Amino acid sequence: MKLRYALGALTAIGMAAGASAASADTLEDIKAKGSIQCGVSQGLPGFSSQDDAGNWTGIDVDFCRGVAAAVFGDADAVKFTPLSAKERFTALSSGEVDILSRNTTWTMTRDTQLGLNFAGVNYYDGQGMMVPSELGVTSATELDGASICTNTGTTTELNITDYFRANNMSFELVAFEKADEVVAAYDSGRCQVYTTDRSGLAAQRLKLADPEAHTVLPEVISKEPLGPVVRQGDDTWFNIVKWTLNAMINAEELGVTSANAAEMADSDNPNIKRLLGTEGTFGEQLGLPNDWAMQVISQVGNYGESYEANVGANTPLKLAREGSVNALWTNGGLIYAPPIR
Amino acid sequence: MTSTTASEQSEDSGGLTSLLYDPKARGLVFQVLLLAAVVAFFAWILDNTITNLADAEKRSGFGFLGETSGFRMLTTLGTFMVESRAGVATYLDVFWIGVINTLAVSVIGIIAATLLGFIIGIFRLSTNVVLRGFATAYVELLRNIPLLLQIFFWYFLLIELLPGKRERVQLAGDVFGINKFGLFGPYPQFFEGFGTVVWAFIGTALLVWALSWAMKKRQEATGRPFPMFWVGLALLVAIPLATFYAMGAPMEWEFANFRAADDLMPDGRKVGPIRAGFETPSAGNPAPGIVIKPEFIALWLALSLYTASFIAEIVRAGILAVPGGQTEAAKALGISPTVTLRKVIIPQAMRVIIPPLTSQFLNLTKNSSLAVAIAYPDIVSVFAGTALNQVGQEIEMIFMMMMVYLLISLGTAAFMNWFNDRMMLVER
Amino acid sequence: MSETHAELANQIGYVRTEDAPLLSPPASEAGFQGWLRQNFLNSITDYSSIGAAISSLLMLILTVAVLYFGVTVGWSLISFALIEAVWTDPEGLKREVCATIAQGGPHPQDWFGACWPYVDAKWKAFTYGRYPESELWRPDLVFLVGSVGIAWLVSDSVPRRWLWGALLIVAGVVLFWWSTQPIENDGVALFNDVYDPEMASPMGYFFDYTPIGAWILVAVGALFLLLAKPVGRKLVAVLMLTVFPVFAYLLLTGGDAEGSVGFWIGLGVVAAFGLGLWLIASVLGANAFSALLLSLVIIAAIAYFVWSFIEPTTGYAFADGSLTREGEGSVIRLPLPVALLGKISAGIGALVILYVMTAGRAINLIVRIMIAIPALVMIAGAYGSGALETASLPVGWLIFALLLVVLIGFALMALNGMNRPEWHEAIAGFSKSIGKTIVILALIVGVVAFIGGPWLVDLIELTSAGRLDQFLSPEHLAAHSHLADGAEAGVAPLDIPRAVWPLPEVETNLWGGLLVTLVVAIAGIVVSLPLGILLALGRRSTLPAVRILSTVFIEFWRGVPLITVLFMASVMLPLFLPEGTEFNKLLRALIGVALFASAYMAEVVRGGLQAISKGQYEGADSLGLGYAQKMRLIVMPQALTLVIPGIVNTFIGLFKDTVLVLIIGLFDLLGMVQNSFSDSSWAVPVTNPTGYLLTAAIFFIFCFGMSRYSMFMERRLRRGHAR
Repeated sequence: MKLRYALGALTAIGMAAGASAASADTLEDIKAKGSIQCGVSQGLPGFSSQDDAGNWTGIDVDFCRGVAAAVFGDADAVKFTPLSAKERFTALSSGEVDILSRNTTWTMTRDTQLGLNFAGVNYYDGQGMMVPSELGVTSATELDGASICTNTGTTTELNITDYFRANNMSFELVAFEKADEVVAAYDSGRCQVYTTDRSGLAAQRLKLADPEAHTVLPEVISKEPLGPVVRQGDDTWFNIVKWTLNAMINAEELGVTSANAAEMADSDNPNIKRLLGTEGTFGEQLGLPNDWAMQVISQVGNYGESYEANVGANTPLKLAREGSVNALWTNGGLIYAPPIR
Repeated sequence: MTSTTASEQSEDSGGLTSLLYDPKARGLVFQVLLLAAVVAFFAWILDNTITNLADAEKRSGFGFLGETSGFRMLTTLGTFMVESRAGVATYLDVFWIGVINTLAVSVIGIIAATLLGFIIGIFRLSTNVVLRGFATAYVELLRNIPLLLQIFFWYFLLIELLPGKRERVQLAGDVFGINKFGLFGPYPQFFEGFGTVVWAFIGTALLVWALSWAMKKRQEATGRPFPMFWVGLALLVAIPLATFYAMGAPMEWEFANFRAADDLMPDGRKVGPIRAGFETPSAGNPAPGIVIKPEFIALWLALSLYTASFIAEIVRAGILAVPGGQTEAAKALGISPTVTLRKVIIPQAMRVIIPPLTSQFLNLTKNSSLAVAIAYPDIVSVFAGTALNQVGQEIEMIFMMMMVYLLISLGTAAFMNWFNDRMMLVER
Repeated sequence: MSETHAELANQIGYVRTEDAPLLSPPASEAGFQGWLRQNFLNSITDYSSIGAAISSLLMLILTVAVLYFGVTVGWSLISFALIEAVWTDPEGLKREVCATIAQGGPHPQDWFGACWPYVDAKWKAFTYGRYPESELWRPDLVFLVGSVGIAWLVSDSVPRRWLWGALLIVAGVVLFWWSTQPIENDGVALFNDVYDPEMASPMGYFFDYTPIGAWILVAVGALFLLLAKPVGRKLVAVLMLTVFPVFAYLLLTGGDAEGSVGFWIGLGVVAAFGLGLWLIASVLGANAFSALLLSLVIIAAIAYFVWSFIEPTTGYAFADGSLTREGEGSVIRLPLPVALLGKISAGIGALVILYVMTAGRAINLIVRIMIAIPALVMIAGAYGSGALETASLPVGWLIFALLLVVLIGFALMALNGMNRPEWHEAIAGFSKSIGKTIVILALIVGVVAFIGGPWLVDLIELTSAGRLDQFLSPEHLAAHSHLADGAEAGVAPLDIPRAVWPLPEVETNLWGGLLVTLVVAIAGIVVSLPLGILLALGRRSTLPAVRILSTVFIEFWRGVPLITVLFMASVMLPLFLPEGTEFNKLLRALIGVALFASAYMAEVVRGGLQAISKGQYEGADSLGLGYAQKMRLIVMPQALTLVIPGIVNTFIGLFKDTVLVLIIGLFDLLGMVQNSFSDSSWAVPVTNPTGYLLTAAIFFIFCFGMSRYSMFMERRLRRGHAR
């Protein structure tokens, strides 16, 4: 009735805060509101970026859609909140977002000190360097005295300083607040080197006047395992997020794709049957329907599909998976998931 | 009669009613309530903050200031003055570097903006239509476009137009070199005996001050003017210069080295494409010369040009505020136009100009925080940006940063108030 | 007298009998030549003495230098923006059309010109951010209503109104024409996508198919031409200050079909500050109390308007089935147009009442009532239609609605007419205070009835069924509370369709571009003006605690840069609030901007207060006015009028400062422009300068326009003083 709202408003003004507490039971909250709130970056092509029509795409976005598919059976039951590097952890711990899927590096401090749980790794990254090809530089060890552009807000400044100190080289660091300015400054020749995560380099390179005239140096000067993050203290939710990632990886390993998921459900392979919910009650153990992984894979795809569609060799980013650390463990990479058993 | 009874009755009925209508009592109650509300509000915030921090298991306090910071900073005045080597400099050093850089760009910006603002302001009143039109266009264009846009404009214009690092472009003979990496200038190297020159300068300054005081007294007594400005200037230049040469010129300029890619370094290696260009002095590399980075130049340019447009309007309004009768009276007394401007118009205009000028100075200082957009390491960029990202103690660090600005604001305001008072006295 | 003069002249031959003919001034002093001499040549051609020669020479050099510099800069700007610029992209080549040969385009190596097709491709993003395509008519409507309202208010005081009106209309028509020009390749019009009936909203045809800018330009231009005198300005001002913010808020956010707490708080805040603004406006003109009252009624009307949309269309059923309204199967849903008609009639009714009440003294009380009665009936009819819509107890609703409307209407008329002679006649025999008491009582009853309406209906229903105990049961009372869910209260909630509210919610993180710039700036001014006045009064208060707190507040916010305030709002605010408090990013920025602006506004207002001579305060005191009366009736009207230019200047500063929100990750105009640089399909070197030039031009037009208007007003006000 009308009154419901009137009283609601009055009571709320009395409470004087537009608060909705982030209770310990994230899953219940999410079910109540009907969608998942997912924190993503403000625009990093391949990981999370918005097209002109406002649709989000990227590997981090796909993961959130996967979780939505697992929980609701609807990959679209997810809303995205673009977050800056500064805001991201506050946003997660204050309950503004339910998952942080924003190319966030898994480090010990973050895991232990910030009240966060990393649900796994969906991209193994590392800090790299890009230089104009005309300089003829082939290795980072030749960069003594270089001027280096980067953006503040992450560990990039620390890593690059450590690297140059370790190699006893001098350099100049020009640190901008936003990536757009870094690209513009590097492109106009203010710096000789652009350093950020290698995936970031691949993405930002597209914004350069002549992307082909620049070389990414072979050195990787840091370990940046990127993965989705949730709040500490809610294991149910943590498990759902963790196993959504594992299901996507397992699906790739087992050859289950979005195209063949429906047929594969009848497969004889018990591993596939367990994954797709035709055997066992693995969904129920998570508090989800039994076809949770089926929904993830049929609506979003397995890990490999997501990778190839967003950052793979056929995308503008051209981050070839073959032979990289992001290949499946069966192909010599690091992408590995515990079995569903 | 009845009314008297009524009022007596109400008084009799107790102090409470009268207290209710007593403005003092009501004021007191209101203030107590207000204070209680404010205190309660802050207590609530504090409580929330403590709970939130405890939940996030974040540390608090200012202990981080003693820890070493692991990142490199752009070469600026701050890095010259304070320890800035990565791994050695503490976060406190980083803080001071930020403060110095903020002050540096603000002070130089204020000087430039004031000079330019006065010129444009006087142009605005010129009888020359070209100058007047130009000044009007300048003012209207610059003050109606957001400063951040102007900063981007100057920065990208600079680094787009300046020659590349490996090109040897020099100004004023070979004293200055300029390219995308900065403006390279000479740096003085002092030898023994330079202290005497400094002392000579200080002594001359004292002498000039005493002389000006005496001459002022004389003018007040006899009316005979004394060209104090020119004499003082001559003394201030001549005596230290004489001492300088008497001591055997105990200072030399060091110029920035230019190295081509094919040159050889002292250790026999080739310079190579990365190091080619003017050698940049920095905390870890004691190269000769001095460098001003394009980030500084762009920020300084944008701040000065933007603020000058406001100062010009203030100056114009100030001069217009002096009644025309003053000029006419001066003319009637046979005072020349220049002297009229200096002794009649400007002192009176200054009364109107100084208060708004103060707030423009403060605005410029606060606007220097936009440095964060173009990588100039001011306090916001280096302390509340990079260092905050490493340390993660938002409350303490943003508090420190705000305190810096508050102190600068209050300090400037206090100084300008003092100056203003002096101007007022002189005027009376 | 003249005769004697003439006689005298006749007698003395050498006295002129008529005036010597007026000669035109020498050519060197008049006309263009004279102008040039006075304004230019005099300053550079005086070589009479050494000093003059030096200064003339100096001036000459300066003039030449400045001329050269100005012409160079001006020319390169014109060359970039107009001459060298690329205007169309008929083949849809995107970046190639603006690229040099080396970059794969048609232009020579040193070509440097603006790339306008890029702006054409991105203008939606620049204007609305990522606001959903199908909902764009909503910001459009807000823009249109806002600009028409402002134009209405300023029309008669715009300098060279005719010229501007004609210019704007021509510009609008050109834009309109341009927007309908198909481009060869795919028939897509400039500034447009193909009209897709499935995507479009009902109003979409108008707003999606043609740029809103054309409509705005034409409407504003037409107003300038038509409105030579202030017509209904008070009414429009009232609407702009109270209804418009609420309207904009509802339309832009799209309301919230869930009726969530945050939404209502937002609405409350918007309404409250709208009221505050109107109070200020009323201080400048109208009777504050009637102003307050009228705005309450308007807010109530809007609230009703909203409620009637989002109200659940079926009722609750008790677990024991004792109250089963919908069990009778009598839920009648009116077709939407009919329901809309009802609501529109309510709106018109409210407007008519408003007009009748605020119109000048020319209308007497009887006429007012004659006009008001049909309006009341219209509102009643609307309530009736609302009641029909719920179909639970039409008669009860109708009675309730009529009662309420009559009460409010009576209260209104009474209050408004109270200070008029007619009133004194009408209430002859009652003392003034009794009259007031009746009115206020009526008002309270009206408001209680309005809010308590549903309970009243239930009361009538249940008592007539002899189930008063049921009414008093806690379950029933709680069933009307939003917070108590039906199930918890022992009430079985039925499936409640809520589809009546037609607008989908648009979250603020989808907003962007000019929309965000305007929202931040306008919200900043709306909040800062009332707050600033309070703070200014506080700073001049005789109560030490109030004075010190106000001073500290003002000096703190004025002492720190906006960017640190925004950092604080984005990083520290979540820490200050109870854990788990969800806070919209835009709202955070708004809070920061509003607090910051109110400190500046406070200083502007304080300047005005200080300029009021002491005699005014003392005069007010000697009349026995209280503090509030003194400020409201004597001081503020004078002080605020004095500082209007200062307020406008603060607003201009605030408007420019909105670009800083991009540093905390909101996409305002500049943010969207920078964001568009990363689109690789338009990545050529000239897109960045084009985007920056566009942003600068937009900001310049807004700020320059406002500052010119403020200067004009200043001159007008000063002239008023001089007289």
